[in-house]
Amino acid sequence: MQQFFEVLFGGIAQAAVYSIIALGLSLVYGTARTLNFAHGALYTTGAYIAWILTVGYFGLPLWLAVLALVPILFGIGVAIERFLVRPLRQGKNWKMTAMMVTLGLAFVLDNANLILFGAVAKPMPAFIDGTVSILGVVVSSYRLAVLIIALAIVALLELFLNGTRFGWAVRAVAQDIQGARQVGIDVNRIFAFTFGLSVVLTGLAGVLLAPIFLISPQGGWEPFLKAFVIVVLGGLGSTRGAVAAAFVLGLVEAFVVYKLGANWTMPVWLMTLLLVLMIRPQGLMGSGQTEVAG
Amino acid sequence: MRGSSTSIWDPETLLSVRNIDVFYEDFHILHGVSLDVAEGELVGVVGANGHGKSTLLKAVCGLVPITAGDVVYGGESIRGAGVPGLVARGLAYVAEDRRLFPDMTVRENLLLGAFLDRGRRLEQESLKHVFDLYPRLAERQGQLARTLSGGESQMLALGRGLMSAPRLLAIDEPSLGLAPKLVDSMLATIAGLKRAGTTILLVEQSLGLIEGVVDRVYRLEEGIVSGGQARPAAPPAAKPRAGAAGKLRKKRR
Repeated sequence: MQQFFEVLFGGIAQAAVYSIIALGLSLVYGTARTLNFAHGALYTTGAYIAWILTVGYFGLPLWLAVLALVPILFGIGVAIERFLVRPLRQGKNWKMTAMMVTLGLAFVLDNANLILFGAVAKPMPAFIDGTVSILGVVVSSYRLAVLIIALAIVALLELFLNGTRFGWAVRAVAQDIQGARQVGIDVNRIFAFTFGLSVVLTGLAGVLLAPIFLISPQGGWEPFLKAFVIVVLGGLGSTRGAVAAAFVLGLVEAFVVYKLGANWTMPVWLMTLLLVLMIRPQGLMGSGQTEVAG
Repeated sequence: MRGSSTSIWDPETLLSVRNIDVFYEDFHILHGVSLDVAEGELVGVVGANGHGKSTLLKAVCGLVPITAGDVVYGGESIRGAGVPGLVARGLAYVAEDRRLFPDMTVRENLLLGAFLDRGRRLEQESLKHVFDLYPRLAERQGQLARTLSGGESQMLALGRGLMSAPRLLAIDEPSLGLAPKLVDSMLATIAGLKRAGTTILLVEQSLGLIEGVVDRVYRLEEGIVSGGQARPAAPPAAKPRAGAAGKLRKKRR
């Protein structure tokens, strides 16, 4: 039983980080109406940049590195929207084109990372070692810290989306682009902002999980795939749905790892997804609306 | 007589659409459309579906690009100015299909109407004004917009437009999807806004519907505009207009 609770806790901590990755994906899908296939590659890139800033070259303390990392990641996201996605927006089938372009970007980033950092995974030291005991269950301090940080990020994001004027504008663009334009919201600014924010989220997730999974050039694909399943399960574009789905799947993962072994995680995730979508095609908290034309 | 696109600038004219052409993809929607709206006027544009009425309003409000011609508002050209800039100058568009934010509350929808500084400065006053106008919205302010009835949605769409503190309100077919009784009260509300000093450009399908409230009417047929003469003795008119002797064309399609 002790071991089960440890696995369960690990599942919850990991789910919290997945929910950050999924939130980024979902925000961009919800507002800019396209999927960013480079989301996983950017997760890895964020971790590599943190590695360069800390143990790799500059030797900065982690908190300082993160402080520098956030604007860098935000800038990368804004640049992707401004220079890769926005020019496509006028064309026919632009969504498909935009997805293909971001997929291309993913390969470019992966291979650039491979050339720059090599195929051998880079280790990233955890900022806390040791274990703590919660109600008799012994858990790793680092995983507990990751859980707390991830939950704090989710809470901050909710606060931003619901409690600030700019956050309202982001939600407005997600719900009706023309309506948002009518009230005077500069929708291009919102698109660029959400891309920036989503890259910050995925990059920070990469940094958080780096001490657990190490950093490798292809390492972003599994979190990306999982985030994608979470986003679809939660309802495309729904941020709360993404958080709920992340925790459902995190718990599923914990049970599977405990009973069947880690290899079964993805098959069981996809079966869960299939089951949910059979009953609720719009996902857990999707609105079930068809796409609103811009 | 008003209505000529080449007329010398009249300080009373708030909006002057001059010979604009608008395309939607390959379709030529508006062909050299011109019209004028004076400060404080309630001007109607009527025409059948698909003849470009909505496109005309959207072009004026910057929501669709203009290919040729010019739009002059408050004495300066606003062609290509961008919607935020136009809303900031008091030009607001109320869409026929409402365009509400379905997963936000009535109150949030209204407050978003005051997103820019112009509206935000008067946010509380405007909110009170809208709630006075529509007590129904005050009752339902915590409800999600997607749960509103058709009539309430139209109230919210108009209310959100008012929240931006508009100088000119462009209203696109407010009667769409409303029961006849609601249409009457909607038009009465619009006439009331006009009396309170807001300039209004109102688009509808049938002249019969808005005849009683507008000062002047333009007809839009297959992207070409005609009419626009002043009505004789329009009942709710604030003041008699110069050249009010012209006759309204009543020919129905």
